[in-house]
Amino acid sequence: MSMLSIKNLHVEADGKPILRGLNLEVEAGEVCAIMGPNGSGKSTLANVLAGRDGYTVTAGEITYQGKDLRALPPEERAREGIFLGFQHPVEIPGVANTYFLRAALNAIHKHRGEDEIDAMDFLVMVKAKAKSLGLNPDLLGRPVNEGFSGGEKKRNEILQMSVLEPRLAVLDETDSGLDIDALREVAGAVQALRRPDRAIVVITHHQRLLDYLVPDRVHVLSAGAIVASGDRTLAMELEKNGYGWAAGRSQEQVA
Amino acid sequence: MNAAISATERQAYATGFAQALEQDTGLPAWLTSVRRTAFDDFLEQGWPTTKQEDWRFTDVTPITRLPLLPSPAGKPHFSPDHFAADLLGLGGGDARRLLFVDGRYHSGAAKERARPHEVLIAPLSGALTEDTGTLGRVLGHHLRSQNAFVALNTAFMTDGAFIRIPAGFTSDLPIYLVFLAAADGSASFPRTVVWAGENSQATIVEIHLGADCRSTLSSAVTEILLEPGARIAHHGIQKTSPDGAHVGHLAVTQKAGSVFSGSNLATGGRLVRNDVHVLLAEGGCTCNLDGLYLASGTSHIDNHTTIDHRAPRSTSREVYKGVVSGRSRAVFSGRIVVRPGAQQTDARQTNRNIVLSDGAVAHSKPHLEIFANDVKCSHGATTGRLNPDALFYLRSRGIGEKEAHQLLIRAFMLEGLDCIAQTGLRAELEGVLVKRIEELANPGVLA
Repeated sequence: MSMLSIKNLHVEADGKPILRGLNLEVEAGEVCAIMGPNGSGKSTLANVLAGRDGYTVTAGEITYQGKDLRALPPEERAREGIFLGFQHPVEIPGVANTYFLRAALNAIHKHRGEDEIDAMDFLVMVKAKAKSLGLNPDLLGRPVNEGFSGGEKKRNEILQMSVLEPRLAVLDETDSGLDIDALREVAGAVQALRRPDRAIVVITHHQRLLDYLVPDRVHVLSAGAIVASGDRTLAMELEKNGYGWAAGRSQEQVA
Repeated sequence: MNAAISATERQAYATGFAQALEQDTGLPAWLTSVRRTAFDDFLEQGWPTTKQEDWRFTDVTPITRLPLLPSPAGKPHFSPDHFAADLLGLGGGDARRLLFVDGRYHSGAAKERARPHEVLIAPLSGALTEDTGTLGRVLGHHLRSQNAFVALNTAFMTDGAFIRIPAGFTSDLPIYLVFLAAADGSASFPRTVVWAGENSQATIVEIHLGADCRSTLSSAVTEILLEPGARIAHHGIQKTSPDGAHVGHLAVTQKAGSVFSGSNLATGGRLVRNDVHVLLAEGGCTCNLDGLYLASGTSHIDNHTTIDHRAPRSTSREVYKGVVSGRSRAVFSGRIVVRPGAQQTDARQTNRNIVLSDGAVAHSKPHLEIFANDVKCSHGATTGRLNPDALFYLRSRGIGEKEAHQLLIRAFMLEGLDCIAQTGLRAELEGVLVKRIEELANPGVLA
């Protein structure tokens, strides 16, 4: 059974159809890349998986670890192991980064019937993880994302992922706004978080990220549906030929 | 346009006033004269109405229907179960705490005599018969408004506290004044007078609590005089039952180079009205006012502040923040006056409101009157909802909806306690605030 199974998913936002019959299977242990042009529905897919308000599922099924995801509020999804890496991480003035992360981790622990983590143990663990991600430890005591540079925000997302240890991580354009060195480091950090029991869905415009974070599967999203799937060579072909080529190719396949 | 006091009411008040004067024997003649004048003022002017700009959003009719007379003298009683334990416990067991019940002194360090170099913390009733100098020079001299509530407080002045801080005396240990309104249908008129000598430093925490499930009214007046170079912090907290009301008037006069830090936390009550009036009478003063209010259910919380810059080179900073939920109302009116000659004034004011429900309303009225040309003045007001992106971000990490709301409200408000210098006191008041936020932010209230 797939970790995530999406069948014929139709989603509207503001009364406009965005996803139109999307099918996707993601297996545990897999890194899968979803590529597509602007407006193809990539971020909608990420937000729908995380349970954001403002999207209406009009048809189709989303099954995560055998559960119907549509019925769960965002916090339940997170506690069940879903993590969304935000394209635009939100600044939260007045809430310290470590406080926020510990509250999140404890909520997940509680859900699993585990003990709360000791405050000191937590701090030691987070500091070590921040260091390995190249994130300035000073940022841990600062309010969540407030005044962080674009790169710092994205590293902070990956820090959260590494602390919360999700089963399914959906990274929405984690590469956007990163310079080439930061991109390599962040991709390397995600690469290090691969596990046989964890699936990582990477949403991106560009093939470059995939040089460092090599995907098992590549899917092309166009006009709200997956129009082509393949291995990493598909990403390279896309880079060469453009998204129009992939859409055309799917037409040929259908024909 | 005030609401006149009817003939029947006049009779009741006159009888009550005569009784009050009879009870309070042994008081100095000057005080009796001050009280008589105030009482006549009250009868003459009557109650404020919503036709007056200062009372536009706050209708006092419901709390003035019955004659508001002080409860008879005698040892007052209260049941601790009727008060929020955390608030009642503030400063508990502290040698520097005075407790008042229904406006009358109940217990606490009643050191009516103090040597000139010692700080005096005494019930007003005792101090009035002992202190012939300082008290008379302060009491009644710093009121900048003589509305009906202030006038009634002066007329009835059941009891209260007198704090005299000698010149050069400094202490970080807070002085706690706890006023409980206990009896159903009671009215109390506590008066607090603080004289801070030159270069003295002290912190005063003034707490007004109304008993749960009781209809109580307290009309409190606090006058604080800061002599040159004095540094005084005053932290106020009010909480009454949904049937209780509190009307407070804080009048502060600052002399040269003094520093006043005021904070106030108002939570709940049928009607809470706080007037703060700070006069920067001499040059080089600093005034910081922080206000927090949490209104829920059908509460009405009104904060009216005036900061009056009358001399050059003074700085004032004012931040009032509120959260309104249910069908509650909050009012903020912040007036900053810069008189001619108050050059190089630096005055900043901010009011921010978060509205949690469709039925709740926050009124905000910044008001600058500037009559000098070399000044920096700014004001800003915002009213909005909790940021939905921030809520989703928190929830997407596993934090529940209710906890996410509380976390954001806390983050919004806690800054209002940053002015508290003592870490212990700050932690205590943070605990009080967090508890009130937890009580507030349940899904039923948020809906």
